[in-house]
Amino acid sequence: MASEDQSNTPLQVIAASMGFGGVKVLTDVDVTIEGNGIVALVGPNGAGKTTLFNVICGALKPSHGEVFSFGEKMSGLSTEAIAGHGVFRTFQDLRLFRSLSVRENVCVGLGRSLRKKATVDKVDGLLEELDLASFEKVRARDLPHGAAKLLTVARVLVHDPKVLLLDEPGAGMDIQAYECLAAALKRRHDLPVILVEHNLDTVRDLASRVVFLDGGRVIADGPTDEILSRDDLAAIYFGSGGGSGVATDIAKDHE
Amino acid sequence: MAYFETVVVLGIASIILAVSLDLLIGVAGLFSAAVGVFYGVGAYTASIIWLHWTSDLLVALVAAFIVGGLLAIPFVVPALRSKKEVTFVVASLAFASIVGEVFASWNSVTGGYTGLYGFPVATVFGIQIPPGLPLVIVSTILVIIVIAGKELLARSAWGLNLRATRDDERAASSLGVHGSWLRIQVAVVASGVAALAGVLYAAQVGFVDPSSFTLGESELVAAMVVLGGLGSLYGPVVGAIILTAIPAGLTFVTIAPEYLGLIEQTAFGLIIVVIIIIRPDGIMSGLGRVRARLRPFEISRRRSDDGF
Repeated sequence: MASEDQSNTPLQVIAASMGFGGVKVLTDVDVTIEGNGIVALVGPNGAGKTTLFNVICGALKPSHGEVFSFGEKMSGLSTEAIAGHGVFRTFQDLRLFRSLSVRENVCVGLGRSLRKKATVDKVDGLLEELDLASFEKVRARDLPHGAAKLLTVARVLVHDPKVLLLDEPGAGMDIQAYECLAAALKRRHDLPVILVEHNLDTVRDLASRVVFLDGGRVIADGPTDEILSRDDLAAIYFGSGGGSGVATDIAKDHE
Repeated sequence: MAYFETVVVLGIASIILAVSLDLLIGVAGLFSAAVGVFYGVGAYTASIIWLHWTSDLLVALVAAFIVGGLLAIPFVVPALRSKKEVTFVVASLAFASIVGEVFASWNSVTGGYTGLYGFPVATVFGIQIPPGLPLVIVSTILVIIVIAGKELLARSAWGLNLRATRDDERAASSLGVHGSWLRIQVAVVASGVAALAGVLYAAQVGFVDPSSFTLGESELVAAMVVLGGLGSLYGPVVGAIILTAIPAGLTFVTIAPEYLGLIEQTAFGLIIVVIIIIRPDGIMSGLGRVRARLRPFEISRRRSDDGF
């Protein structure tokens, strides 16, 4: 399955399937992130978006299929090893290190490189860029929501990811925090990003391509404007489609 | 005044045990009931070295740290394979029972219930360190090194990753942190540190037997850590001093011997209850920590979630 140009492909999910107790949560999902920029993963609740993230990052092992990043096989590796290959993710439910300060949250996983001035400068720069400098010593559990969301992004950007997976980074943010996040992502236009997002204005604003997931299957994949103007997809997104919500609930229970 | 010096050296040993347990609970979020047993491992290791090889105190300290750490491996590695904290607690209880039984039964090495005694006065660089003031000085130096070492570890990149794992292991692993491996390392180091305290015990008391290294000792150390405040710099130190000073102070009060035990236990219990009511997070918790005041904020949804 591996080809020569696979080594230049940031992320390739090949025929990933995932099921629990006979309920299919993902079915033969193929997603390839070929270039840079932001690809949005869109779909109704229960479409399998977060499950796909968990499969890519090694939190869930797919029952079938494989995941590659720059030609290296990710499926079967531990989450730590996958992070070691430069694939980083944020979580929908924040999962900050609550008793640690904002600065400490950003420094987790940096190890010995924290002794280098360049690393400390990078941390300082990110805190500044994501409007977190004034919260530097505040414990994560005491942060306002917008700053907490930005911290989840700072925490992964500091690792210079090769591929970034963002799970609803803008949800519940005030406009100021959102603009800060959007600017940070646009500044990194050469970084391959997969974005799970419910807010379609955000998708229009940030993503150049949309992969539409429903019932654990990819049902559309194309340029943002084209996908978001399709009435059939709108009907699924807002209407009666996406009957697999129960399946995803089961998936979440198994994590 | 030999009694006072004994209280001081054993008090310092308690501080070392409390610091060791705080490294586990406060930094790594792991509770171990085997601290008292590793205290015993250190005491027995020192006694055996002094009886059979050399009277050198430093050799005994290094050996106790290594033996304590190595002995922790067969217990912590399987226990930490489970992500559930309660597994570690139960495994530590089981381990404590097994090692306690070994202390009491392995007559040829530990002397069984009779214990080990008659070892020479410990030496450092050839200078004798008898129980009393010289040992108080050496113990003080050791406890300062242990406290400083724990602080350095807790504030290092290693300690940061460990604290992150304690808060959210899944998030930490998504940032490349190997939580299980870090927990094994910290449990080994903490066990080695607890064993150091045992060396001081053996040097001061001049005699070791299984009765001093029981689960009761582990409970006492846990009370010290909780009372002082988890994960704080001076918390374990303050907790250990208070819980060492209470029984020591009561011996100066004229109490009929038949009531001494009752009054001691009651005073112990009352003080713990009162402190927990007044300062539920421990005496030293939150002291000296300036909490930044947050600016008022409002959570507002940026735009509607509607689209298309």
